[in-house]
Amino acid sequence: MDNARIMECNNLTNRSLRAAVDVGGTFTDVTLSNPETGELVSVKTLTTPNDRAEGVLTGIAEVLQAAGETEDRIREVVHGSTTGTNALIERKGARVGLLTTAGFRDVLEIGRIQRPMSGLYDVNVDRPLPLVPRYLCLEAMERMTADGTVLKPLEEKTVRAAAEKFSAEGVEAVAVAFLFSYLNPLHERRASEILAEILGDIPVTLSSGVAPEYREYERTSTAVMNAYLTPIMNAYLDDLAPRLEKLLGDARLSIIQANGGSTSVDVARDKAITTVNSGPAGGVVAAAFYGRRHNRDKIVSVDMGGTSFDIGLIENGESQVTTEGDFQGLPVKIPIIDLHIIGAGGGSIAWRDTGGAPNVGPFSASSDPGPACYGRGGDQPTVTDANLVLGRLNPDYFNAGNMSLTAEASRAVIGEFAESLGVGVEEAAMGIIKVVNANMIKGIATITIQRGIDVRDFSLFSFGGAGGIHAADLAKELNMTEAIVPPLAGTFSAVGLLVTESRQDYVRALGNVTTESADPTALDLIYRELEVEGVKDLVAQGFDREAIELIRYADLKVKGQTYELSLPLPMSSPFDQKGLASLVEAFGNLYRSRYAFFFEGEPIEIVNLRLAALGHNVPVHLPEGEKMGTDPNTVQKGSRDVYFEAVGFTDTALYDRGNLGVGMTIAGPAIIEEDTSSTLIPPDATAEVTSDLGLIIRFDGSEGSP
Amino acid sequence: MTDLITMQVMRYALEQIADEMGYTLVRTGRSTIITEIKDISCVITDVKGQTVAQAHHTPSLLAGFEITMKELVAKYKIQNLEPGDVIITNDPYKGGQHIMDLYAIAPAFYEGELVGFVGNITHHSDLGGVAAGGVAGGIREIYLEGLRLPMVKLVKAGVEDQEIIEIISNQIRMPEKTFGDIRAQISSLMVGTDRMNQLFTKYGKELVQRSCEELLNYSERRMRAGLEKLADGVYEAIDYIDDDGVSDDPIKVSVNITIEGDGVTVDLTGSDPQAEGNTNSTLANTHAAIYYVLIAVVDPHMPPNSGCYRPIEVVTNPGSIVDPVLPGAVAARTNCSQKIVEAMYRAFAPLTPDRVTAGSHGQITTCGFGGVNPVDGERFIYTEIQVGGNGARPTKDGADGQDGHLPRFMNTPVEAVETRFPVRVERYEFIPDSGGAGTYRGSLAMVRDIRMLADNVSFARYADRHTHAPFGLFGGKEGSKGLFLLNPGAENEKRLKSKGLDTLSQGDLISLRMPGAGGYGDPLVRDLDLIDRDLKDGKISPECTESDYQVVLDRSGQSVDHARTHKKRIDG
Repeated sequence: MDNARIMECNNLTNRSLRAAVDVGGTFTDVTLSNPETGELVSVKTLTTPNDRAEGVLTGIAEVLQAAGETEDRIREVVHGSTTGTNALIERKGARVGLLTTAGFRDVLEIGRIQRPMSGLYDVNVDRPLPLVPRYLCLEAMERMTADGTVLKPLEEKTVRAAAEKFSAEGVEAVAVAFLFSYLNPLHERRASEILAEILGDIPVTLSSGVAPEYREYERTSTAVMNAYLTPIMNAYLDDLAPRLEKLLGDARLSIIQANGGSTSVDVARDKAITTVNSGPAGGVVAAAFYGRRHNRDKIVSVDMGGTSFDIGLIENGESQVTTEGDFQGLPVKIPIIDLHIIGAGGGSIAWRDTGGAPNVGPFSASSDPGPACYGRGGDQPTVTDANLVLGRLNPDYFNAGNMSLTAEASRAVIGEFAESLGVGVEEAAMGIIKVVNANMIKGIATITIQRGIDVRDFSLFSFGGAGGIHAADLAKELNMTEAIVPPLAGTFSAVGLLVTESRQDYVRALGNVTTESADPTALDLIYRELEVEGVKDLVAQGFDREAIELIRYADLKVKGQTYELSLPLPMSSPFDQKGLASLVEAFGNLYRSRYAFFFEGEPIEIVNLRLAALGHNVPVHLPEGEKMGTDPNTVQKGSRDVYFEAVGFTDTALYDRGNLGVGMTIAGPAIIEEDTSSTLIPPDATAEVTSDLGLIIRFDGSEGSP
Repeated sequence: MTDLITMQVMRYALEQIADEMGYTLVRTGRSTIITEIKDISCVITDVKGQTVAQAHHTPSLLAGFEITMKELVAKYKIQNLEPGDVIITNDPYKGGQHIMDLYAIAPAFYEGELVGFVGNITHHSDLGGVAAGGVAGGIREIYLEGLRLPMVKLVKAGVEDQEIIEIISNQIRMPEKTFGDIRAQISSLMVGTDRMNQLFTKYGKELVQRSCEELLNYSERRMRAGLEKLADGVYEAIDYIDDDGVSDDPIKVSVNITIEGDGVTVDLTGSDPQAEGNTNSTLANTHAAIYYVLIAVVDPHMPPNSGCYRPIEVVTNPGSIVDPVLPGAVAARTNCSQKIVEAMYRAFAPLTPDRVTAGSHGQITTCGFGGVNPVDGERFIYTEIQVGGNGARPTKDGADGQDGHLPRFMNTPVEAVETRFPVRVERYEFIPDSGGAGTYRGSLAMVRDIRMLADNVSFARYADRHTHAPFGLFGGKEGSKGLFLLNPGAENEKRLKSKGLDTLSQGDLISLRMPGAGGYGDPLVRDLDLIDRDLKDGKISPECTESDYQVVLDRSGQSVDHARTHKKRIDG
């Protein structure tokens, strides 16, 4: 870390605090971190959908008050936003014009043709509509060949004509995506200049700029989505930045990205697409951070809220970044933290299908009307109702005691459901829990088992409002080593915003280079070019050279195959023949572990060179627990009957998380309550209290820590 | 209750294994037909060979596997199988699809006992035959279509049989590519058997097997419950295959569906005798089509497995187009099986008007280009598959540019095609006015223009609906027909047959114009805003708007004059 830089910063301005702002659908969470004392203070304030910046400013003011600090002490605001995500979900992005190579105007709507998985037998299931209507998809006369040479020069008048049409139609952003532009961006760049002449300040996204990789549909889709989000993101930032400056002076504003890193406002303006799903990405980063603190490098992170269940994967201590992701069913070819989001949460509704089998979700009672126990008119059985019926939730201590739950209402709706199934109320409630757990398990399997990753070696890291109640069940069902429920479980993803590094990704596609034919010196030169770019960009964001870390990656594949595997390079700069040999070996090992088979001696192709440039921030400390102690009896606050499948209702010990002692071991059955979540320890499990009051749940008969 | 919950958990676990097998196959495959198009599927069976779960790929694997497994269990007996065995076959007359579709199957073991099978099927770009790619139309005997492999153990307890490999290698053009793809199939099977073993280890044999049985029973119950709700009766319809690639005569596909209580009989005996050309649908393929429609119409979200098939009886005449006998050629079988699908939807239309679609693309347009790449002197085989052209639906238009019915495929990116093969794709777009008019419009057809950059390129293909258009339903109009044009607009412009084998020269351009799809309901009650949208998007022309929809346009000629249109329609 760059201590000199921190010192300098502090001496000059006395600004040392960092604030994380996570603007969610319902709440805006603000967490203030004091790197000097390690103190973390959180507040929740209502999101203000019509003027989101207002909620951000309110939250910052509130958190400063709660911490007894002043505006001029904030050095940086790290901002996680759902602005882009919501614009996509609600289809409220900009009016975009698309310019393609002549003959391919329908690239977006034809896409890859394949209907969604759920439409295998259901003729009514369609892919999402494209973000650009056909009449705004226009063509330019030009063509590159498959080796990047010009076949047909760009006919500039066709670009001008398109620009005039875009102008007449009032487009707010333009995407340009020509064939083979990832090999030669010449025509896209020239088109951009012409568009600027006619359209002035309207933002233009080039596919070669945002996703310079092959497969025209995926690249076009990425460019279009970026264009779609740019005006909205810019409008928000244009509104927020000056108001923040007015409140905080010259504090830096960083924007969190889907790759799990943060970036400057300027970069976020150009690459709005990178801000989509950045909130859940922050959660995965938080999980990796917590894992590093406790020496766990294989983690499945799950954030279970009211409606959605966000799943991320951490291997070798690092969150996994993919370039084959999608947002709302539309592919994006940028590095994003590999997240799988399914509709399962406390509000998920239980229902029976035509064969009589119980199902749960993806429909949610959300916050309005909410589960039946909220007493706001919800009349359908939800997961929260089932948890309440089973005694797993405390009706009088929910959301810091700000809400009280009506157990009778839950019993009534679960009772009806039980009757339709012909079973008892508890059995039905348990059934709902088991089905939603099964859905979540399938979701976890998608991001692990489907990749050939044996989930049994992993820790489950579970947070969010409902995360603590289901953590032990999920981990046990998946045969995972343990479940971890961190401190501040209800708002833990905000911690992720604070621990992110500033991250920029760069990629260069190579044409037909095998590991045999590769010239390491030439590759090294490309890496060095990317590194110059990366350093330049991060220095522009205020990082000293010493705080910048550069990581080289290479995407390799067996020649003749199509899909590459991405590998980090051994840090032996410059890249040489020896580095190449170890890269080839690492590829063989990874390949074998993923796909069961690897044939030695097959030609291997290097497809892309990638660079991640990281700007390191001040480390974040979680507060340590104050009390030591090993005897849980001294802090038990009471007990109540909780239903477990094997034994029925059982007297179960209750604890407050804040009263636990570091190092304590709590045997199940037990429930540990705190302001925004509860953690269930089943009868066959025990929880160990970590130094920061996290809970590590293990099962009887399983082995110790990994 | 508990059993149903365990069953759901097991269902997801099994589907997960099947999908993971598919994923492995795609990641390790070589041909674009696997890596891009994804013309594959994967399946898990119980020890009797009953399908308990399948991957979310093309449903046309469905029934074929049932028949294949019966053959396999009969041939090998359980006691002759051991861990690490892989059996392959592509025999269309023993539960296969066509020569190019190769099954690979491995027994799954738990504690030394055979507990089930995992299998996959992959369309290969080369398994020999008269035409590179094996997809020529108009072939008269199966012996010309490629190497017909009986069921053989390619891998015996983990060791590949070199003699079998040599036999196959001698019969095909690009053995390295094909064996690369076969090894991808083997990788997928190894992943499958490994995961099956983990599943049994975790839950125990008894619980897994009981749950699988319950899963089959559950699907059967759902199928029966759905059938029970349909009115008893006999429902009939006919569709036609344009021709068999040998003569120009249309071939009739006739379906007669009898619903009685909670069972159904699908009788295809009214269909024409088997064709001289290769549009014959093997029995497995015929069953797949029937099962697909029944699941889709009766209850599309039931777990698709062998249990669903129990209430279904299929009646065919051996020697007919839907149940051919040797030496009938079968490569173009989807020309027939998709017509079974279409005819069944047509038959169901009066019974379940809310669950059927109008006529579609009605086949899988399949082309194989083969030759030598002038750049590196290497042989190439480029298999190009196009789907899309969805019939309009009861409440919405057919989805433009989306696949439907039996295939669930992807197209091949232009940048992937041109990087690998000496061709240039010059156009890939919708054809305006090709969607049949209706209250809901059939989806548009697509055109793909491909220019040859090599000489002496063989062009094998089978396509259909070039003479029999996709039908409309309930007053909806027909969709456009398909057309293959060589060098359109040039002096040597020539229409090529939908099924055949030709040789193309360097510089030739072949324009593949796919069929569109039929409309649903009376075009005169189509929402005028939708017509306006289509006009603005250039999906229909002003002329077509006026003729098909009886719409009056405003002065610009580019949008609908609502008032005058209403008046015109009222006045007649």
